[in-house]
Amino acid sequence: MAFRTRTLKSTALATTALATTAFGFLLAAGAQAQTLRVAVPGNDMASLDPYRATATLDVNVVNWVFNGLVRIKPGQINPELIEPDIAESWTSTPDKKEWTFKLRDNVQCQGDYGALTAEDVVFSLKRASAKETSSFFADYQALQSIEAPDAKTVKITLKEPVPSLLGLLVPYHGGNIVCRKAVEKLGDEFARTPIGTGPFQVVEYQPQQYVKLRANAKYFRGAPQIKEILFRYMASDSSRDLAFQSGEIDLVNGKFEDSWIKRMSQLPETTVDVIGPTEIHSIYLNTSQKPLDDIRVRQAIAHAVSRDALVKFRGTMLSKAADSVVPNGYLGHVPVPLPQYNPAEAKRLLAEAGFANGLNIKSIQTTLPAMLTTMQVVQSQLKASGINLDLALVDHPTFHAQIRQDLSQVVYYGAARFPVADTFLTQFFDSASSIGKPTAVTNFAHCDAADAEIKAARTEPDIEKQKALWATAQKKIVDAVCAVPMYEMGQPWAWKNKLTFGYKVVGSLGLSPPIDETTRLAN
Amino acid sequence: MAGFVFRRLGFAVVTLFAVLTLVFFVVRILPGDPAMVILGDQASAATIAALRTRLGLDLPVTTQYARFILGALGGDWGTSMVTRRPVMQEVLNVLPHTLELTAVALVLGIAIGVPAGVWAAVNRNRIPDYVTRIVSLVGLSAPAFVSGIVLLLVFAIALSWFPVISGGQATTFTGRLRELALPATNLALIMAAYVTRVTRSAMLEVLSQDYVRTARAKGVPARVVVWRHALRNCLIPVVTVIGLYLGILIGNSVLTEIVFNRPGLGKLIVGALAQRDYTMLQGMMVIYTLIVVLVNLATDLVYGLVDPRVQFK
Repeated sequence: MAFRTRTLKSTALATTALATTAFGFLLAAGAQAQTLRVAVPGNDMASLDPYRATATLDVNVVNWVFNGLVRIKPGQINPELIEPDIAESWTSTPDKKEWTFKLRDNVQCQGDYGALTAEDVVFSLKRASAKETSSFFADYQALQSIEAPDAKTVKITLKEPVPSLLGLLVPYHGGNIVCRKAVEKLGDEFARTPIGTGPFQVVEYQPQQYVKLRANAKYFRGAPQIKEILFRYMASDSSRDLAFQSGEIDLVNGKFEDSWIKRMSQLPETTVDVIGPTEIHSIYLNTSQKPLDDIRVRQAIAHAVSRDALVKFRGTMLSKAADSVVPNGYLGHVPVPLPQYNPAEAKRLLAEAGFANGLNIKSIQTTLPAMLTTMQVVQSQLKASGINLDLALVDHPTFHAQIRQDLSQVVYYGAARFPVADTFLTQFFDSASSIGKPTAVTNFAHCDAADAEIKAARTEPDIEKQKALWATAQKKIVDAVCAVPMYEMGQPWAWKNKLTFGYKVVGSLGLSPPIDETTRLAN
Repeated sequence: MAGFVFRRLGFAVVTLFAVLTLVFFVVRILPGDPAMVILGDQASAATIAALRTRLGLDLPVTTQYARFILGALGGDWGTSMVTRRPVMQEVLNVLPHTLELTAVALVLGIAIGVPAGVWAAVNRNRIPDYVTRIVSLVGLSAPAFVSGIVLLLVFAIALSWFPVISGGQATTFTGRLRELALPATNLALIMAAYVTRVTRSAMLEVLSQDYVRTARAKGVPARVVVWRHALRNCLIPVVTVIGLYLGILIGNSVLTEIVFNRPGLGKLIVGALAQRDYTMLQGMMVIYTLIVVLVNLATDLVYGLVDPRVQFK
């Protein structure tokens, strides 16, 4: 069998020679042009039209493309820190029903779409208010009319005073200002290559791969230092981290795990941070169904859940115990005394409610690992107090469908919203948002404990009184045990130290660090 | 032979129709709502209902089906419910990436698997045979996402020979090869494991045949006996496995696409399923069915090439 040895040796030598030659060519092909390379979890974009973009990875990009009439100070998320953006100044009538905005002179639409005028702003806000074109139209229903008396003036008339009107006009969801000619010319294509006035313009989209953004040289605050952003969709957590480690990515959105933060922190020349707005993770108890219509049962569940143990499980670098039904850092949040972990008290309350021998409740639960593992911990905690939580596992789209059909007695939900208490209180605790109603949003608990305060706060012009109403609402909701707040966590990001931001990054409404004219990327 | 091909294509049309009908109804039975995906979790029930009307999802399912079939007959596969792009455009955008990856993996898998199987067979119950069998068993057992990560750790991180992101966007030939190397190897290793085992067992059977013994007795060099006389006669089962596996390869490339961040049909269908994008799923199923039918047809035709005794009737 001598031929075999000879043949194999020849083959091995030929393969090695070929491979060596090929590697020479291949390694030479690896050079890269300087670009900020970003990677986020996910397969692909859905829509970059700011009035349709709801997925985090879409909002991330929209964040760098558009401006609003006003904005929250860059790097911050506190709505009390509002400053001019496209509008250089504004006034309102004493009754706060008419607002007049004066626009800057030098605001240009990206590409060849010319100067931005008041007509573009009117068009944008009308588009944001229309059911046919906006997912956020409900937020703008108080706008009675939007007019452009001249090319540099926008006048907004309200049906009723909206104290948080400026919050609706920051570049977030419906507050983003689009360029009318671009929307009309591009049609459906606008959702892929939107045109705004922000520091970066979307110039290329490769399905399942990336969106490329180029610096807007005509940006009114000055041309960005970074010339290009390559925003990559990378579904695999491991590959995303490896790409960051190998130097193919400069800025990466991480996993909601302490281990990720620890691992990335150990990489050389790397900064890891958790930015706002925080999302709160709570379990919502369906007060419209037996046995959860009995407050003693809900109180028992609240006493059976240990926030400290959950925070320990999720990791203390990323999460902290919730102290209200509204996340920390949101305007109007106040800490409220929550029921403490006390299995004995939970058992006493159950016995009092007629469940001395234990209680069975059902929860539809997504199979998304991060959510499922949390609920499994809750399940074991409840078990220790005699509550058997039956988890019906379904895939994520099914989970979203079924919890909106009132099929789950307990709903575990984590969410971040525009950082004002009203958003959370309205969507999760206003009875108008209860599941089953035409106006339903995410009130899985069918909570109506604080309807009066939530409604009154919406139109209360005095900010201190408004905050007091929100505080009362939070206390009433906690007392009614519509939900059991568990923990809060922010958005984990890591970046190479060659990337420097012009501001301290506390948070970003776009859920991605602000990349603008002040951001720098060293060679 | 032309009659055989036409007949098979006729069956393909019937298969396509059956698959389309099945997929149309199955995706609508699944809980979940594309309107909610589009509008996000802050949308009210009324807004979601309005969009469902606009998408035609509130129509009777039979009306939707009739519209879909009529559109498909006219070559219109509809637009994606989520992205609003034409389904065929979406599919054709990524199809070349999948075909490229699969073709290279196929060639590599055969190039590794067939010689390895032959080598194991001629060294039956000796160390090369044991090694090949163990390695191929590992290849069969290792999930694509595990082998993919191992390849990345070794060749992209430790050795820095290849990129982690193999996106398929390189414009030069060498750049393209560089991006293709690891994902194609990942898919090929699994395929090679199958081919190795089938080749080995087919070869063992052929090597015990009388005509092989006769050839050896007549002094025909061992190399010629193995590679010309024996190998050709064991190709039918090998071709069958390759044909079957090619269909699986195209469908199962999703994990490799995700790990190496390549565009492809696998990622498209996973995304469509997660978003309950009915029209996209329907279009994807047409493509998959078509590919499987064509691969099976090609496999049957290859039988005639490797074995002249095979007749097409």
